Amino acid sequence: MFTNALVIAWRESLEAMLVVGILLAWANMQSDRTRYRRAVLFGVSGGIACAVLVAIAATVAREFFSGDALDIFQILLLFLTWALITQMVLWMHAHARHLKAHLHRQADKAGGQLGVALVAGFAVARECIEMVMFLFGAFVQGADQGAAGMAGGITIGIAAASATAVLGVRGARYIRMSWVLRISEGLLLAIAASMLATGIDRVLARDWLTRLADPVWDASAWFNDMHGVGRVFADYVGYRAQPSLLWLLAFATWAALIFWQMRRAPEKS
Amino acid sequence: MLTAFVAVASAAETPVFTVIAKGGHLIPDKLVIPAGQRVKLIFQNQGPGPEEFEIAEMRIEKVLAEGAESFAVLPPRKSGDRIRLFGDFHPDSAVCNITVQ
Repeated sequence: MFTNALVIAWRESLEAMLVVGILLAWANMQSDRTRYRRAVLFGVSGGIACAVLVAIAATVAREFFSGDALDIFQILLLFLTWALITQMVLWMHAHARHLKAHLHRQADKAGGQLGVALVAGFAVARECIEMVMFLFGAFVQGADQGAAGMAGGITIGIAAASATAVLGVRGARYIRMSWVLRISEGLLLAIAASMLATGIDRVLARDWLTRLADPVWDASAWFNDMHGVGRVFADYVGYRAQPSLLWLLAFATWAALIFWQMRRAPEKS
Repeated sequence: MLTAFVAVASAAETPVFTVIAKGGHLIPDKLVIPAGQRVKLIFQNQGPGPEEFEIAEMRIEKVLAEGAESFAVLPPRKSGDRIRLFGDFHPDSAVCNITVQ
C-alpha cells in the first residue's frame, strides 16, 4: 500500500514537477533569472495554497462545492493550464528568437513573469487537489494504520518527483542552451497536448459535447493506449488509440495554430 | 436528482448504474454493462473519508469528499471488454469489476 501510494504520487505529481522544472531551467538561462525564479516559486506556493483551499472547501462545504462543482473546477483548471502553456511556449519561442536584440521592454518582462507564475500555479494546483484531499481526509479521520502509510508514501512520492525535476534542471546545465530551449518547448507542448486530451475526455464524461464520430480509426491492435508504452504516450502526449472526431479536430486546430504562430514569430519585432 | 435522471434516460436512452464507495469497498463489486452504447455511471461516496473513483485504462478520475456524488459517461465498448473501476484511496479493497456484454 505504501509503495502503491508512493508510485501513484510520483507519477501524478511528476507532470506538475516537470512543468516547474522546465520553467526553472528556462529561468536560469535568462539575464534576470532571479525575477523569473521568484515568479515560478510564487506560482508554486499559490498553487499549493489553492489546492489546500479547494480540498477544504470540498470536504467542509460540500453542499456548495460537491462532486460536480469540484469536477467542473478541475476541468476549468485543465483547459486554463493548457491555454496558458500554449501561450507560454509561443512567448518563449518569440523571446528566444530576439533574445540578443531588444526584448527587454518592461511590459514584456512583467507579462512573462505573470505568465510563468500562472503556469506553475495552475499546474501545481490541478495535480495537488487530489493528493491534498486524501491527506486532509486521512488527517480528519485520525489516520488509521493504512492511511498513515499511504500518507507517508504520497509525501515521499512527491519528494521523489521534485528530486526528478531538480535533477533535470541540474542536468540541463550540461546541454547546449539552444537545445534546452527546444527540449523545454517540446516537453511543454507534450504536456499541453495531454491536458487537451484529458480535458476532452472529462468534458465527454460529463456529456457536455458529442464525440461527433467515434472512433475515427482503431489503432488499439498495434499501439494500445491502455498498457505499457502506449499508456505512457497517452498520459504524457495525449495519444488515443481510438480517437473521436472531436479529438482529431481539436488537435488539428491546435497544432495548426501553434505552427502558424511560430512561423510568423521572427518578423514581429 | 430525479428530474436529471429522467432527462438523461429519455434523451439518449443511456443506461444508468450506481456505484457506492463505503468503508473502503465499492458496492457492487461486479457490474455487467451493455456493449455498443454509452453508459452512465453514478458515483457516490458514503465515506468515511474521501475517495477517488478511477478507471485507469479510460483515464476517468473523480475525487469525491464524503457524502458527495458525481457521474461519468463511458463511451461505447466492445462485448467482452473488462473494465476495472477502483477507489484510488483504497486500491486493494475498493474494486468493482465491470464486464461488457
